[in-house]
Amino acid sequence: MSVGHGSDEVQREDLRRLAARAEEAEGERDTMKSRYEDARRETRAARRRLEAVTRASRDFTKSARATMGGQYELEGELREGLARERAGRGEAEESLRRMETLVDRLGVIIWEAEVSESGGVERFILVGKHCEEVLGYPRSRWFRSAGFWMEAVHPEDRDRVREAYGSAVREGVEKRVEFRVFAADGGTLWIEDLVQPVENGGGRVRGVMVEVTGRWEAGEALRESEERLRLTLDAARMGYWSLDLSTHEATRSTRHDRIFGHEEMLPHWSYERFLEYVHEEDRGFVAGEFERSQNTGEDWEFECRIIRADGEERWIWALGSVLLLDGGEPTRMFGLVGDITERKRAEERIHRSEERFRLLFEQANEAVFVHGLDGIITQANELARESLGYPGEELRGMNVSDIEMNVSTDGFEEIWREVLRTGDPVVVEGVNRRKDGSTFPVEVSIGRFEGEGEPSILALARDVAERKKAEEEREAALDRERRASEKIAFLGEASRGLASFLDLDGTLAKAARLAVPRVAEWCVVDVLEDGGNKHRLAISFQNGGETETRLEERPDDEAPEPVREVIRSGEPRLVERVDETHLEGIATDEEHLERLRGFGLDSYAIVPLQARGRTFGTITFARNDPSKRYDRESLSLLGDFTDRASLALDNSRLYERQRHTAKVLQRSLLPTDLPEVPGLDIAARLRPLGEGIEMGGDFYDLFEASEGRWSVVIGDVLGKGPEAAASTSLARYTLRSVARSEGVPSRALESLNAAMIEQRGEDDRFCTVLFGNIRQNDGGFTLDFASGGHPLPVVLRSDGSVEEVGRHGTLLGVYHDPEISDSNIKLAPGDAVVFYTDGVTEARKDGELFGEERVMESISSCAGSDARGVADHLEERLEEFSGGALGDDAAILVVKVDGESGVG
Amino acid sequence: MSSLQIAVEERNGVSTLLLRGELDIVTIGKLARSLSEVESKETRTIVFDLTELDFIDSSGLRIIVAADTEARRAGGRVVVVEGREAVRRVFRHTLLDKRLTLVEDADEI
Repeated sequence: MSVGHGSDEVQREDLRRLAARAEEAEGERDTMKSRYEDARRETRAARRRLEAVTRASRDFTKSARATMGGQYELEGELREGLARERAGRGEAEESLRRMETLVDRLGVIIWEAEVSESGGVERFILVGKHCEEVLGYPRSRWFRSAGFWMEAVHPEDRDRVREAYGSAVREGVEKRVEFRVFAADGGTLWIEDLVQPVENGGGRVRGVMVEVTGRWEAGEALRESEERLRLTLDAARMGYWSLDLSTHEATRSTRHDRIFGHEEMLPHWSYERFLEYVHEEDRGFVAGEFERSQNTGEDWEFECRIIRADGEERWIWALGSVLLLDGGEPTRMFGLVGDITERKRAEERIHRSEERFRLLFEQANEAVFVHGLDGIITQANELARESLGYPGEELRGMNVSDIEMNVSTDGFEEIWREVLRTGDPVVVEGVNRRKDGSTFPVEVSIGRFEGEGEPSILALARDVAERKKAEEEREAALDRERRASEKIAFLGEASRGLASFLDLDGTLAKAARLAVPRVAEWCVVDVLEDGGNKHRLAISFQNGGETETRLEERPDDEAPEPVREVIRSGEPRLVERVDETHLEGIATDEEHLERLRGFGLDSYAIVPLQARGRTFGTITFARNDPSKRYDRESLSLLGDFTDRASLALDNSRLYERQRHTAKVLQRSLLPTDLPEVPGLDIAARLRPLGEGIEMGGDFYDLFEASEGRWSVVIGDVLGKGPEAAASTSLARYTLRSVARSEGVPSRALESLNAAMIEQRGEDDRFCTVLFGNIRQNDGGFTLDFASGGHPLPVVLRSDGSVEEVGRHGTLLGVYHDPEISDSNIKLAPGDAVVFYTDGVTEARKDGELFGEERVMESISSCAGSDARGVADHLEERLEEFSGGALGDDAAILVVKVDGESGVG
Repeated sequence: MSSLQIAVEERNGVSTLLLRGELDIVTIGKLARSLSEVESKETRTIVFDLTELDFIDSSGLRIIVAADTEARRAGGRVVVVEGREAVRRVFRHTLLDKRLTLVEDADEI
């Protein structure tokens, strides 16, 4: 295949460029691969980090929840305990106070004494201050001698009194006794005495005396009050104690001793002993308070740790009230003590747990929020504040929707409700917004938080920007690698596919088909013809599952505007998203618009076809699948494909143009119809080399040179191509004009020789020509002819004999003095003369030439055939011989005289 | 493999181009290249030895005729050693056997 000279260099340049591009693409692919590997490694590392963090936060959430749960329980218990304690204490205190008030108001005498089993008072320990008022004796009298009392009692009642006191001690029960007493002023008073043994107090009793000369009710009330006190004390699990401030000896209830770890009452107890039980770290404080209360008369109230008899550390609360006697001197203190260890421990546990929670909360690796169902944030840790850029306490009170972009859109409220209901944590993706407005992606773990009050939402937010970035990069790298591979594979296929076509239609169709569906759902390959007035197209599109291809032609004014624009500018055009107005701009008519709508055009690209510095067409790629929309990167691949197509299409165009030109020229060079010559039967065959791509150098002509004289010409310009064609037309037209005036063939050829030498340009142009004149003569014809270097004609007589006639002459166009001679033969009816070019005799097969012998043979076997028959037969023999192999051009011209001679 | 082989021999101011195979439109390029090399050396006599040439067509003729014309112009000469009948014929039919210096064998030069 031959292409015009000047474009070889450009073509080679195109090929070099394409080869370089292919190499580049390979290199790109390697880079892509290694970058992808890196991205993969990074992602794996990021994933491991994320897993670790997730685990840590899950652990935290678990322990936080456990702690919260535990704390809640503890708090519940504590609340109950506190309530009870408070109630108990309150009531106990109240009772004490009430009793004191009563005592005060009613002038009741409280006493305590050691009494024997026989009822004799051995010693008074305590006597209330009202004794002086009621009985008139100074208090000191009681303590000086115990016998004093019995003496004050009316002698008639002494037995009864002794009996009451004694049985109280003996039986351990409460006894009431009424008796008369002599007052200091000599008067007699009736006394009612309520005697109680002090629990396990040995012979100790306690009593309350009331002057009952008309005040009975007061005693009742008091008794009730005491009773209530006892009950209250029991309920509060408190112990009662009474301390002599001078001896530091104490009496107490059973419960008191139990608090200090003794199931059985100890025989003795004192303040000092008490201190021994106190935790050494608290002793100083407790003793100090003791001193202070004695000095100030204020209550001695404190909490401290004790080491119980069994070694266990416990917490106690104690309240001591100072009893003032004798002008303000504190003589006694009595009070309560209670074990508050459980409460204290609970408090501590909560404190510790709170501490722990606080720690975890603040030091978590994630931002932690606590908020209610309404979204109001109640707690936020340091990281939360930091990551969002809110200082101090700002976050509290804000709504989560101010922070988390997707709260409303992604149904977070639903999620919260669900989490609160089930307690199962949930992980969601979100986007957090900082105070400055910037955003970052997060992963949020949402759990149930049980603190005080209603359960709320605990949200841990992890910044996943890094992970997202790694994921995105990995996706992008994978995508790039995939695209690079696809691109290379596709271009390789395109190159191979396009290389094999020569004819333009075939190349157009192939190019369009290659693009669908790999890079387009619709492809139009459009090439300009006819100076830009016409478009030749191949259209390929998906129809059902198949690709359909059509060839079309349309005039330039029917081409869509974008296509013409690209041809004008030489620049590709990309439309990533097509809308309705755009469609209207593209469509050339209603039908076209309907088709575009029907196709669902989504995006398209028009790439110019360029070669040898000019734009000669376009390829339009169109997609209707939005997921495969074209972008700037696709343009690069489409451009590479179009480059390859450009090369192939340009070659095809050139080939076609050459062939077309050749045909046109050839047609103009040769007589399309052989003229009708009366009396002659004429046939011609011209077989140019290479199917018309080359213009052959062989030619023939037949014309009426003058009245009754027909000139016949057959020749061979030694060469091929347009230059040769120019020589053949020179030869033909020179002979045509010379022959009019020059009747002698040799002279006509000499003229041609001179003309050729004169016309000789850069290249020597030689030719061989056989020229003859045919005239009617005596019922037949005569042929005068001369040869300038050309094979001699063969005459076929009607009897079947053949002979070569004429004399060889010098080939034309070289020498100024050619030797050319004329010959003359007579042709009778039925005779034929065959002219041919050396393409016939020099046809080769395996080194053997067709040769003159075969020519003669072939012609002689055609005796009786008409001119066409002879020509056909010779041509057939020639084709047969050379087996279709390309040789030289061959021309055959047969002139037969009509009529028959002899044979019918 | 080209169907034309050319061997160039130079001796005493005579350059001989020994041709073997076929000289036609396909192979004339090769001959043209060898010929221009030889011509550039300014030898006085160029010999086309066609004894082993199987075939020559009009394009081959052209080269030889052009070389002959050029040589004459430059004051040198071209000699053609004839060989096979197929080749001789061509020179005969064009009457070039009367124009070119044709010899039967190389010794005659």
